[in-house]
Amino acid sequence: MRIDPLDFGPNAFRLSADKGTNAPETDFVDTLRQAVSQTNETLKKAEKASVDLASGETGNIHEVMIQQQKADISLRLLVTSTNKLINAYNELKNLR
Amino acid sequence: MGGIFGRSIEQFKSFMDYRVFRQEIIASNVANTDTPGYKARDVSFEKQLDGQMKMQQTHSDHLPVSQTGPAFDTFEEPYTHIGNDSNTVDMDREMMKLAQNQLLYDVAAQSVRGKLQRLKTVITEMR
Amino acid sequence: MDLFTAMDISAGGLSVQRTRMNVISSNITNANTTRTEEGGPYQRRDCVLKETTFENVLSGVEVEEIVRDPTPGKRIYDPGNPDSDKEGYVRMPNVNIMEEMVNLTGTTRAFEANATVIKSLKDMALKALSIGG
Repeated sequence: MRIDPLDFGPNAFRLSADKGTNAPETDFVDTLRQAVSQTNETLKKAEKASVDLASGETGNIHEVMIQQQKADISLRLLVTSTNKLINAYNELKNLR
Repeated sequence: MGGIFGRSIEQFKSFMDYRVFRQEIIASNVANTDTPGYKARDVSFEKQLDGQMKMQQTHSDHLPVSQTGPAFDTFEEPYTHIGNDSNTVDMDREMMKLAQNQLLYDVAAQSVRGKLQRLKTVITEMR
Repeated sequence: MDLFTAMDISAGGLSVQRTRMNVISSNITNANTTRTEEGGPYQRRDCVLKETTFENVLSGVEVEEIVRDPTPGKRIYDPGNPDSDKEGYVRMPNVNIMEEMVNLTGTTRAFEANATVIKSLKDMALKALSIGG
């Protein structure tokens, strides 16, 4: 299972000089939403795998464990990145 | 951009799949050590030329391969002794394979665990 | 890729070897039984083992049947024995104690080997669980 890191794209942090004050906010929120949704999917799949293992549906222990850890890491990455982004955004906002 | 997990975790997982399957084969051999006519089996893990680890299904020696998992190359183990009952299981050899196989499984498990722990540490420290 | 399947296979092996031990035990116990319910001396029993199929290339094992060894046992001269015939000979069971002991050793080793496999599988499972942190 591959987890791609958050791809913020070229517009995530762009100041609004040429596009109007709404542009950076939209990109920012969309990017976050996508990241949250991706991570959520990963977490749900890992949860299902755990249940399958516990119920005997699957016996592939190492696969389930790896999936769980990857989901955990993805979640931590999301939370950490989001915090940093929000902090950076607030700093930028205060510059204006 | 590659995923933060890279390819190595998938590789280790493949190794572990192989070790589990091989242990299943060894269990079969040990269980059938007294079954007349039983021929001991083993399974190999082919390495492709480009260095990528991959399970290979080549000629399967008349043995059908499981449809559900990745394909492995199972074969009849060449034997040194054969009993009066045509059984080719060499118990000492199977016990040796058992221990070795388990150890290599543990190695892969340890590597995966370590990598995941390190990733966690890096991300946690990023705060 | 399932450690539990392997455990099932080994459990089958344990069960088979245990049955063989019981049969050998019966043989040894009846090495001198000259009279049975069916008439005639005790005939040693043997286990016929059969390979079973577990998911394609994997194999388990089971006892297909327990058969009587029809080979006649020795006739020994013992006129005092209540089961002796007109000439004073008794047909003994076809049990060779030495052979049974050798078989018992082999069976015991095979039993232990299956137990070792199960322990290994269990340790692997625990190791895999440790990945979960």
